[in-house]
Amino acid sequence: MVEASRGEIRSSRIRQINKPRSISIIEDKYRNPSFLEYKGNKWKILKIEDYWLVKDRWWTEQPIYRSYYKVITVHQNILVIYRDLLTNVWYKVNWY
Amino acid sequence: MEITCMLMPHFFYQLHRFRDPYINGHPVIIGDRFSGILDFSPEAETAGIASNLSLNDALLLSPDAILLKPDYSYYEKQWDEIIDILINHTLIVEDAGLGCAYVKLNSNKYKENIDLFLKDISTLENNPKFNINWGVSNGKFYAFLSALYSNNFQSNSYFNITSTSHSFLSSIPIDVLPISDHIKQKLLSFGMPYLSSIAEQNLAPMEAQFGDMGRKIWYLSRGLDGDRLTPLERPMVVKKTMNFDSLNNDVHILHLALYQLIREAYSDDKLKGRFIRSVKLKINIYKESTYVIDIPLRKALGNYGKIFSVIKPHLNRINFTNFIESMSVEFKEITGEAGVQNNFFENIRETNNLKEAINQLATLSDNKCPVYRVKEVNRWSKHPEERYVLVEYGK
Repeated sequence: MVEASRGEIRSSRIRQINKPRSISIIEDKYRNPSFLEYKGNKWKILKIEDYWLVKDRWWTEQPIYRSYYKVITVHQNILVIYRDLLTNVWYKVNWY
Repeated sequence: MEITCMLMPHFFYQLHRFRDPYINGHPVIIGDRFSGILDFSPEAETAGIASNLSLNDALLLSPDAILLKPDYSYYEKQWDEIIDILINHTLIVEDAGLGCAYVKLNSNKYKENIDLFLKDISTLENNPKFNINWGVSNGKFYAFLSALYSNNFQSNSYFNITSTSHSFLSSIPIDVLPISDHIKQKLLSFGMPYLSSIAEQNLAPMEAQFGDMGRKIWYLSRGLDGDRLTPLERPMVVKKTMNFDSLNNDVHILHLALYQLIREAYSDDKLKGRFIRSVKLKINIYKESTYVIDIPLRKALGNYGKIFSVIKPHLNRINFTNFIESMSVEFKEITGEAGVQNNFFENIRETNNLKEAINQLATLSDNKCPVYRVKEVNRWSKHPEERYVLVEYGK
């Protein structure tokens, strides 16, 4: 097995932004996100604007297998969420 | 305004006497073949030694005299310490060269001030007692004269002359005037060996003969001294020293010590919210000469971590063969702002101004609240969380 080429960013002068945080998602019958719960609030997802599947770093011990969604909520917030297909946990990446 | 002149007669000899007490009571000549006679002891003076003699003539006159080489760095170091003590006592001090200074003291309390100063000066290294003459007058020249004639080399004494004491002036030779030897020779050839003989003349012939200088010496000889004090401005310096109890030359311990020293120096109130432009590192090595490294900083720094990272490579370059006794760090050229040069282009200037403001804020907060900006690092990454990072501002 090849080691991960992309190491963890350790320099104190650089910080990660948009660190993925787990959220709870209520899925519809097609397993697409329909409701989003974050910090005690529940929002309906109006539209899925984009969708892409990422299969990456399969040659390492930490392979990435995710389905990303760019969604618009009922309050017109745009955010990117993804489902980790290995663990089946939902994460929020960033707000626009 | 009363000006006090502090004159240390035979200053160089006094310093040598403190360093080598065995020369006390012997005729001593300080000088070398190149600069001639710099100073001599009172015992040598009684043997007829004068500063205008050549070294060979002086040694012929007093063959048993001890000849010492001048040590200018030692004189300057001691004099700087004396001036520092003077500045601590009074704000207005004019350094008139080694062994002579003018100070402005409170006229009612100058004796108390002088006593306090003498008490402080006695704490200087190997320095039991300095012989100092004090002179007080309205002008610098008369303060100098009164110090010169106060109680030469006998004891610390105060002497005050008024500008109109003609009997006093009649005995003072023109040698004391702050003029060139050429003019002194001319004055002697005109039959004016004393200050009083100049005062007897009219102003016009003096001006006609010597120009501006003629007017100056005419006024001086009449007790009219318009020279004012030019206060000495000491640059702010923060210095910290660390002595090593155990002898070592381990570079890791030195790094730790250096970091600690810089941190300690940076906790000084004088450096609060300020930047420094120059650092002097001094390392005393056992049985070897002292390393002195002057490190000018290309960019003014306001953070001890950054200063450490600049000095550390300089320390690494030295190959220590012997043990280190002590180390000191001196921060000089302390400024209130980073002082980055303005750019002609407005947008770059705005960015620089913002950078400068953020730097100052970071320094004021002791770098506890760094300011970050968002930077795009991988625009086309498949993982949106990897497209941007936060970078500390100004890096």
